[in-house]
Amino acid sequence: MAPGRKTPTKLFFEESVMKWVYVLPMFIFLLVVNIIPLLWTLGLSFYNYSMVFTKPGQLKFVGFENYSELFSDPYYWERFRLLLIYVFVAVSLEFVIGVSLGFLFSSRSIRGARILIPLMTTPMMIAPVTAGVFFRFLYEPTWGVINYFLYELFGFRILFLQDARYALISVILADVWMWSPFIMLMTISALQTVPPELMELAEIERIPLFMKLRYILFPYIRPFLVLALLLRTIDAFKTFDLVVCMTWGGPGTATELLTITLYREAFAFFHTGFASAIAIIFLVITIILTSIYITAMRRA
Amino acid sequence: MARRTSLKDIIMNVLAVIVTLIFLFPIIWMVMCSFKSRMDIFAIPPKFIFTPTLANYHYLIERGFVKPLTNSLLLSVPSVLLATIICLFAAYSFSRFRIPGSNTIMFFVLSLRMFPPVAAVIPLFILYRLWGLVGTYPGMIMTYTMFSMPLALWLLKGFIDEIPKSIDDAAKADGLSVTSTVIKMILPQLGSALAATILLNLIFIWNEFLFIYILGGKELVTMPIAIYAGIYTEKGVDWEYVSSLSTIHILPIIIAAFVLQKYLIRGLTFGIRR
Repeated sequence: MAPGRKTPTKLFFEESVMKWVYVLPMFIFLLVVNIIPLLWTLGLSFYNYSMVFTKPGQLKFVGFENYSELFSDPYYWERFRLLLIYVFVAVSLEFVIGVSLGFLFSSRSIRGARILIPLMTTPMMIAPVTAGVFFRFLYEPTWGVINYFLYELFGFRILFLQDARYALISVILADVWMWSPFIMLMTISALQTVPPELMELAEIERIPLFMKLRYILFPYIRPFLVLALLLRTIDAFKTFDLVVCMTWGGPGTATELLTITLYREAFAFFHTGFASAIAIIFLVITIILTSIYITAMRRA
Repeated sequence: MARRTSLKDIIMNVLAVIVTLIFLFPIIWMVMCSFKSRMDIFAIPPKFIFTPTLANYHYLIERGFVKPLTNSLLLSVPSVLLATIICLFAAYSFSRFRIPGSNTIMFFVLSLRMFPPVAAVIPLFILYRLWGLVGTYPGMIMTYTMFSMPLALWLLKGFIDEIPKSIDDAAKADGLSVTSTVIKMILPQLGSALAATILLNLIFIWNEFLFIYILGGKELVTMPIAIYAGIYTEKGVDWEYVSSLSTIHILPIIIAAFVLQKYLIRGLTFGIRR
């Protein structure tokens, strides 16, 4: 054996050590920036703790009091309901619009899809903060472009972000603008997995459109759409920046989603223990949704 | 048989172009506004044709945007590079060797990215305050490295899974150590996939608002924070400032959207192959 070469035993030993050395840095990061903080949150959710007002020695263990307060106060249920409405309406609209656009842009008749599709994907790449700015320009009550046309055509204006009746849907529309193209992109990819022979056959056999959708296309595109829906649902639950930049939860509490409430409890009222309990609720939701997502991904 | 252009084709094409224009309109409109004079921004009816001016950009330079820009770069580049290096080796290990509980670990890492940042930031703030890391570069780089890892790990593992194992075996037969195998054999194979992973994470940090808002203190101002500050000033929204700043903020993103097309689905779904 040439000098410098390693014997198989040496290599085996090297591998069994190195595989742990390679994952170690990641474990350290996980431990310091994630596991310890999460355990900290879990612990704090059982204490009457405020990061500002609690003095050393005043920390009080309260058991499940934070949780029972959270579940018994209708205010927090309302905030949670608002978040659910946001998620449901935004994701449904994105789904309907996204799938329709996906079919449109996959059509063989479309020329220049190579340029149009990347352009369509820009909204989902920009920061929610910037998207908030865009929509503030459009929604502006006096000189905003939407209100100008509304007034010229129909003779009325809408205070999109200032009127409690319209604020939530106005923010949702910004979300829809950002993320419909994502569903579109997923639909386009899904349609590419349908074997062209199958479609040609359906064409020759003159299978009706509905049957074609239900029995030929749907089985192919379903796994993609399930993933897209799950991912959007998970992401919509995190919504924060977009609302902050457009309404900060206002007017009143019209757009105060549970994520905004969580911020207020933690960093405005400094109810740290109570906020930790809300964070744990989010953790549970996240774990459930993520495991569903991974199962769906393995299947796809 | 050449397909003739039918009426249906024309309608579909016109529709596609109109849809694209509708989706681009919010961006185009704000970019236009950034080149308008103060008078033209507030004009009723809104002006579609106007004399472009750089006044808003002069104003932006006056108010200073170099600091947020450098901060955004100083935080994103080291974090993403660190996360990529760490995850390259971890992904290799997960892909090639048997690690007990690897599925659970992969799941845990992914759930990090799914967890609402506003919930994750509470304990981080308390601990960082304890450790004196609030408003410091190391503290922020640590945070961003952590939250770049889910994407880096999942994408890189997927990409490495696709590289044939025979490459490793050949390297092993040549007596290469495991580390040299990763650097000399696997890394070149990854190529543009690695670049896409890095770019996606750079965009994530470039756009990130919440962690820096809470953990960054008063000093560490990045681009999204500067835009936010421009929205909520004492006199309301500073339209001239936010329009020009947002234009600069989205410019690299639009370029990235074109560069990343091939990897976009994969990046956004954490590894679905099209």
